[in-house]
Amino acid sequence: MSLTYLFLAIIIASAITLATRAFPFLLLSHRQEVPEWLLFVAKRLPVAVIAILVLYSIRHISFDSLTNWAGEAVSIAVVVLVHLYRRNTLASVLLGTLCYMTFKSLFG
Amino acid sequence: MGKGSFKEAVYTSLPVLGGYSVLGFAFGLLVVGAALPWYAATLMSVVIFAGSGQFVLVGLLAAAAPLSSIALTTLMVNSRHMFYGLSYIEFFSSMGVKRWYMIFSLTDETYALLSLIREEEKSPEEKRILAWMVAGLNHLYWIGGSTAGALAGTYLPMVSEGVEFSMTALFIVILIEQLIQQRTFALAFVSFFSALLIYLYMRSSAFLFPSMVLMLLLLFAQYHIEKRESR
Repeated sequence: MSLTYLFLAIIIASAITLATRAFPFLLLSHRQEVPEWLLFVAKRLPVAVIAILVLYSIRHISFDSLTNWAGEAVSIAVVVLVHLYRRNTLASVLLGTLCYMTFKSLFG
Repeated sequence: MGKGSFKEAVYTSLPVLGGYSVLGFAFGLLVVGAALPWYAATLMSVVIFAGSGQFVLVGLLAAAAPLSSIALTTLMVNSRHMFYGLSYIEFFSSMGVKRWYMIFSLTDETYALLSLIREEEKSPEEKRILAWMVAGLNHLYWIGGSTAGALAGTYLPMVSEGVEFSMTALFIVILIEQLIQQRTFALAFVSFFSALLIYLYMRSSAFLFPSMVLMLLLLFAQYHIEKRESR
């Protein structure tokens, strides 16, 4: 990977992230009201996007042998159960990841 | 600004210190695991400062994705931030030049802390100072955590096997939180399975963009259908 590609990617990601955060400030300097459809879509888009990102992050799971997917399945269950029980992001992420890392080191 | 307000800012931001140092550390490990130099983690945390956005970026960089899909995916992942600022237009406008830093650093966690600070019984000036310090401290925790993780991953390589699961765990937790708050189970279901079909067809990480555009169009259609029905 070239450093030019790396730096360009970081600059682009930075500029776009800043643009999303500055969006209401830029928009409202021209007009007072945010379009109704935009609010409707914006309110629901995060759930849709995060559901897609969950898929993105587990897309490499293979079902060829039990040890390939059991680690993911158990760790995901740990994350969901710990989170429903404590509602503590840090605890859920930490325990789920430790569970997965344990599986990885045992069954590789 | 006295010592008291700095102490208070540290105290207010303490829950984020726990979250950002651990997630930042995991992010740093992920960066090094993707064969990127350790300073890429620091640089990203300084200039981007977006948790899930940075995690996704590392995946795209590792897959050598084209810059155009990096731009579009970043836009979709961070699109929720477009609406965070709406809550703080007046508050930030009163902060002079610092408002640009407040806009830059408006992460999910900072957004949440600002909503607490705004309700506190303080003078507007005290609130502005506290808000600015909390935003800066959160940024420092994130930079520190990710740099430490990247250095640990470079010099202690055995710790990082399997740490990429922290990204999966984070997305699942965010999804659960949003489902609890918004009860939009059907939307999450449709989104996940339509994306799965697109992925099974394309078999590459490029499925992100068409999947997200499809959901954008579906939501746009839903708005018009609901509007017509309510008339």
